[in-house]
Formats: sequence, C-alpha cells, structure tokens
Amino acid sequence: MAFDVDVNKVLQTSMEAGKIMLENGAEIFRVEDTMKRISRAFGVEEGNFFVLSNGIFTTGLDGKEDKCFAKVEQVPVHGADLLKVIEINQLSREICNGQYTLDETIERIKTIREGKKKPKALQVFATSLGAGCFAILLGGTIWDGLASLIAGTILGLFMVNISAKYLSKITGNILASALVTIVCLAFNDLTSVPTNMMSMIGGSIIPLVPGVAFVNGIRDIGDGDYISGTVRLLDSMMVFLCIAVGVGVVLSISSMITGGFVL
Amino acid sequence: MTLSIILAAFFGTIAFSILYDIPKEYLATCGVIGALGWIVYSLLNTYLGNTASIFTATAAIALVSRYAAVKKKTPEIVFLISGIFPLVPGAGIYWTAYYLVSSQMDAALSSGSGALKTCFAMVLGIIVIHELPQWFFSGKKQKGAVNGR
Repeated sequence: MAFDVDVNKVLQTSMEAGKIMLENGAEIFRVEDTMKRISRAFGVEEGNFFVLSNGIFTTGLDGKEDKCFAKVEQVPVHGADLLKVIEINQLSREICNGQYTLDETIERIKTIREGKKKPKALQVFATSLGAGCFAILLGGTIWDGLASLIAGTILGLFMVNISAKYLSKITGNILASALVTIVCLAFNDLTSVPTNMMSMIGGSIIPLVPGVAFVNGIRDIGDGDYISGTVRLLDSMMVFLCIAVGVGVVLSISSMITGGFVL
Repeated sequence: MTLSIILAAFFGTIAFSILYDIPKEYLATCGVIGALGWIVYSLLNTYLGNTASIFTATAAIALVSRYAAVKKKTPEIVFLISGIFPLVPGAGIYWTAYYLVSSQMDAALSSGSGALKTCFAMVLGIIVIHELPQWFFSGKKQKGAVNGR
C-alpha cells in the first residue's frame, strides 16, 4: 500500500456507488469500472469486483494488517433513474481528478442516493405524451394518437397512484395493460372516428415496455456479460408476457360479449 | 415519411427520456438521436428489409450516442437507451406473446422470429460501433480507457 488508507472504508464507499448505479440501470461493465476507479483513486489497488445484474461481490486485501475485506450485497431489480447513474459517473470522474476526499465522497453519495423525486404530474404527462407519439409511429392516424394520449394519461395516473404503491410488478402490469385496452375499446365503440386498434393499443402500452432492462440486456450480452444480460432480457420478457395477458384477456372478453371486434 | 412521424419520434423519445429521469439539458439531444434513428430505419426499410435497416439504424444511433457522450462527458447509455427506444421490438414481442396467449401459433412464430432477428440486429449494431477506438470520438488518446468503454 502506497500510503495509509482505510481499505474497508474505501471499498465500502465504492460498493455503495456501484450499488446505486446498478439498481438504476447502468451496464455491468460500467459498474465494475466505476468501482475500480473509485477505489484506485483512494489508493486501494487490491480490490476485486464481481457484478451481476442483482448482486455485487467485493473483496480486497489490506496489505498492512494482512486482513481481508469481503462483502456481498444483494441489489434487487429496480426501476430506472438515469439521473443517478449520470451523477455517480460524474462523481467518479471528479474523484479521479482528486477533487474529493473520502469523507466528502461518502457525503456526496448519500445526497445522490436520496435524490429528489420527479413530480407525479410530470410522470403522467410524459407517459401520455409517449403513448400518443408511439401510436402515430406505429402507423396510427392523428385520432389514434389522441386516443392513446387519453389512454396514456389514465395509464400514467394508474401507475403513479396505484401500481407503484400497492401492486407487485406482475399484477401491476397485467392490470395496467387491461385498463389501457378497455379505454381503447371504449374509444373505438363510443366514437365514430375510424380507428386502428393495433396502433392504438400498441402505442398505449409502450410506457409499460421495459426499455432500459431490454437495452441493457442487449448491451450486457454485447459486452460478454451473458448471465446478467440473460437475466435482464428475461425480466423484460416477463413484462411483455404480462402485458399480452392483460390485453388478451380484455380483448377476448369483449369479443365474447359483443361477438364483434376480434383482432 | 411525413413530418408528423418525425415529430412523433422526436417527442416520443423525449417523453421516455423524461420517464427515465434524464436531466433537462440532454433531452433535446436524446430526441434528435431518436428521430434520427427512426428516419434511418424507415428510409432503409423499403430497400433493405427490416433486419438490415434495424442494424443500420442501431449502428447510426450508437455512433451518434458515443459522440454525444464524449462531447457532453456523460455515460453513453443515456443517449443510447432513449435513442434506441423507438426501435425496440416492443410491439413485436408483445404481439408474439399475444398470439401465444390467443393460441395463434403460426402468427406467433412469424412475429416471434421477426422480433428475435431485430434483437440480434440491435446487438450487432451496438457491437460494431463499440469496436471503434475511443480516440475516434474524442480526438485524443485517453490513458486507461478500455477500448469501446
């Protein structure tokens, strides 16, 4: 060891930083890279990091006292908050430039972890805007976009107020996609505007699609992190399946009742 | 391809960037990258077919994302995720699952293999761009930077 360092504290800190990145949707290699950089910047060369999609394993050697640091942390699959990834990334850059002491770093990581939540209204607005735009992208008319905008607003309200608070991921996704389908069916039946069910429903369910998990899964596989990549892809497949169940059930019930519209 | 579709891609990408908590100063870039990817994809789709155009569009997005990441000193994933979002075969995978649920096996097979091909095309597109060395984007050799990371 070049100079006096508290190996435990350094590794603990870099692990905390890695955990925030991992649970908010960073790629595996970036997490490993950041942890390595942080611990090296504070003088710990002997840190080894093994990161999976839902866990971090760290060991390090304290050359002075001949002791070993070892810690395993489970990181549950979480939402995506890229702001935190960006902030930790920026922090590790600044640490490498020597702008932070260890205690300042711990303080900064704590602030990043708590972060500020985005307002609910903004979340609902983004959901409905995304749904509307994607209905048009998937070949819908302006009316389909409008219907998806409405369905997206309802979906956003449901996600923020109900499924995020009370429901598990699976039930939440099934119920949310069923709700969206009901709204689209209602729009189709109650108005005389010609509609394209496929792009209407397709657009409205897009906010449920786990884009970050999917793209990260692909990225990890591209980097050779096959285990984590597969887990993340499987996670997104699960969501797709839930969405299909929700939409499918509602559509088949409605076609049973009315005997009419079947896709 | 009309203006309304480009606008839809632009604003749709921005909407999802907001959902993923991407800071304000990057939103416009994300939107442009998303729209660009969609333009490349739909221009080529008629000539090259789905898989090849997804590949090209993903490669274009990854290229621009890496450039933007170096310029703005931000993880590349910020731009890549939001830019690639319109191309994610969300609808394809979803229809596959839907056909499976409603036991239309032929349709499930065809849309499933289509979605799988799209995924592979995306992986390839990303990998190809990642093989480019870092100085290609930053214009200088960085110490300690791993190739493509």
